[in-house]
Amino acid sequence: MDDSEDEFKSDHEQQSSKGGNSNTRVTSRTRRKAPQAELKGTSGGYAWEDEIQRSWDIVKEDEAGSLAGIVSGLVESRKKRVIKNVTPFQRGIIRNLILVIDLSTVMMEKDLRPNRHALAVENAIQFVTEFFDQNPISQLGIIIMRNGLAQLVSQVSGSPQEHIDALKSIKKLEPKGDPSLQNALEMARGLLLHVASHCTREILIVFGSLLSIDPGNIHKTIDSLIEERIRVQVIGLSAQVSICKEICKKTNFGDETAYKVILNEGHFKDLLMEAVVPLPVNKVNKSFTLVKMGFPHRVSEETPSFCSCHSKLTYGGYICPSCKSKICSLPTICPCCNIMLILSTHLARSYHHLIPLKNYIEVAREDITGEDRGVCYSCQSMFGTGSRYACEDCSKEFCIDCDVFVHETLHNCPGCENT
Amino acid sequence: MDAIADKTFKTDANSSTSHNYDSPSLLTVIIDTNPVIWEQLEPTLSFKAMLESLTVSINSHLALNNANEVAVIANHYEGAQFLYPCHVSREDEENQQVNFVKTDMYRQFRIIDDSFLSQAFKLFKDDTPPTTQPKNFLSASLSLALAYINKKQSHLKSRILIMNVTPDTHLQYIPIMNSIFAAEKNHIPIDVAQLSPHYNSTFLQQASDATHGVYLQIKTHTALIQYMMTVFFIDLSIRDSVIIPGIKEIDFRAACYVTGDIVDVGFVCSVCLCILSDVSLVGKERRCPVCDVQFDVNVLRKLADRKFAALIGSGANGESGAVKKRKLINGQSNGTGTTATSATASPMPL
Repeated sequence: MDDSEDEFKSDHEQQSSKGGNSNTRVTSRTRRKAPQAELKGTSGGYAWEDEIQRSWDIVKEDEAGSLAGIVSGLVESRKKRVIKNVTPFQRGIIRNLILVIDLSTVMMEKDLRPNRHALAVENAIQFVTEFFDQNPISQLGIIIMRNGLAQLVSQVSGSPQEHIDALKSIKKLEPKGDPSLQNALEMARGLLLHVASHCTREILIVFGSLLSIDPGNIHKTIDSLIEERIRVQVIGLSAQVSICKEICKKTNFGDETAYKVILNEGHFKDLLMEAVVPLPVNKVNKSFTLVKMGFPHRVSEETPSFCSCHSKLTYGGYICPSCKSKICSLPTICPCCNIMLILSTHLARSYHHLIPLKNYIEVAREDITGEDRGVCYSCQSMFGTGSRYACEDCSKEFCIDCDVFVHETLHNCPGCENT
Repeated sequence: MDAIADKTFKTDANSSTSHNYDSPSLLTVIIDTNPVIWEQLEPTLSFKAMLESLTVSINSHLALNNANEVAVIANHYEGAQFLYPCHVSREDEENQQVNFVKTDMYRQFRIIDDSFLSQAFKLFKDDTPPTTQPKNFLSASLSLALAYINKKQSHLKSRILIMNVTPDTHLQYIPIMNSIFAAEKNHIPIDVAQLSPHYNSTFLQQASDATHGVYLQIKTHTALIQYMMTVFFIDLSIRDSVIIPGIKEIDFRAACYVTGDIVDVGFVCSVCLCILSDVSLVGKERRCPVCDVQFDVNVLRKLADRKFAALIGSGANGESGAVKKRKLINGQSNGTGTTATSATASPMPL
């Protein structure tokens, strides 16, 4: 199949995989009538029939004429409490990911503000930061699809700053022409070819267009991707495209959830951030091994000496334990002896993916006894009218701020640590 | 409505950064109150003397800016707890006869000093000396401190000061590392005053290094207050312009999960990231001693020396793996490694 552009999936499930408000936009773009039930908005009616919600209508005074209660309720509802899946999985922690960004003319569309291109690049920068924060021993490369070609903008490496600089440079680049999925996939495949078998090989595509101009048969490319056990995830910015769905399904061993289409700006970011968490190891995709790694020690010097990574004079750095050459920053691969150099703390940073913290359970109002003084266990602030959340294991109670902080940043339950 | 709320928040944040030198800060002190170790330190530095120096320093911190705040957490052998702010019941307040500070002291100092000193006093008052080996609740103390700071951080710059005396043993590796990352992420420096002259804490060195804090081992105890005032109580805003003592070399080596040996080149399991000092530790079964996955034989052969390669090939010796595993369960406390195994050893479904 040479061009996959006019292959839109027209069955039910495509629409049902998308929720609420974006449906209207999707159908107008694909020029196709969707079943009526799919167009219902959040309130059960058509999206355009929804009543306009004026922010000042929500705020109502209580009996005492005070706004405090309602305001705290509003504030609380805005804080997102993410309920994560806490089953521990074996995950591919050492990742190799190629990020592919669409830079075709459709990216100039202004349905995402300020436009798709600017938002995609902005989100990609945050993605890169978060990716290396959570996966310190992984590698990343960036490709753009522009004018029917795939262009490498940032080589596969473990340095977040290089990628961010590259992304900043394509910010100014004007989207042009049509994208080519096949070209991008082939290039990504080439970049992932040498990757060792214990690492994961992943491609993440941000795809704004509804078509792809391919030079050959894309199905052959998909077959070779499967052969090399490369997993492809796609985030669609407009409507669902059949070929993307097929790619994701085939390369993820029949799992269709790897292809997602965004609803709005916020959802776009959420989907990208989901990709930060390493994928569970699939049964088919198993290859466990030991990796030789060096744990260097840091030195500081009175007189500067040359580092082996940039050949610059520096005061101090890290000394490779096997070849004794000096390196500026970690984690990296030693330029002299090719051993992976990390800090043991970098390894520790990935542990929370393997052993996730249990979710807290909201305490029902009835269970709150009158004598309870009501202080959040970790931050010592009064609960007042706010809701409280309890840990299943230590049954200590926490406020929403601490709950979010504990599960998103800290990954330790202060109560359980204290027993 | 969102937009309006966001805007007010942003301008607040901007204004606080522009008046950099006046911005109030929160100081969170974690005091190690392990009675056994303090007993050993007694000839040179008593707990009381340390509290006195600390009180002076806290007061000076409060005096710097009217909006400055303090929190004090005790890392006690029975668990971490807040000394200040602390919600005391009324009865306790009435029962308290001892005044720890002069009643004619400046009111803001008096309230805080009195509260945290009386709480510290209570810790020791009704305690019988610990019969079992005291545990170290540093990770709990850090977690509490970070959650407290997280709540306050919208309007305050924060830092953590750890007054440590206990050695690293019995520390939970993963929770401590998690706390360090949380601090690093939220830009909270962790300063460490190692009061014991006999040993350095590797964990705390790494903590202060990762968060750009200060680590200082205080050997001359009579000058404690001087150390506090000149090193640890320098406000964040002027840290860049002051030369602060640093450590020249930090040991980042890791401990083997099975044998507890400190290694500089190790082998890491690609699934659970446990560190092994030698390939032969996987035994004949080629299984990871922590998460029990089976390794690829070809890669192991490449990594291993000839002797072990022969062992995998012939399968003559199945003992070594079993022996090591037993050792693991016994949980010898040896630095980084073994404490971590207890957490990672939980079975992971495939």
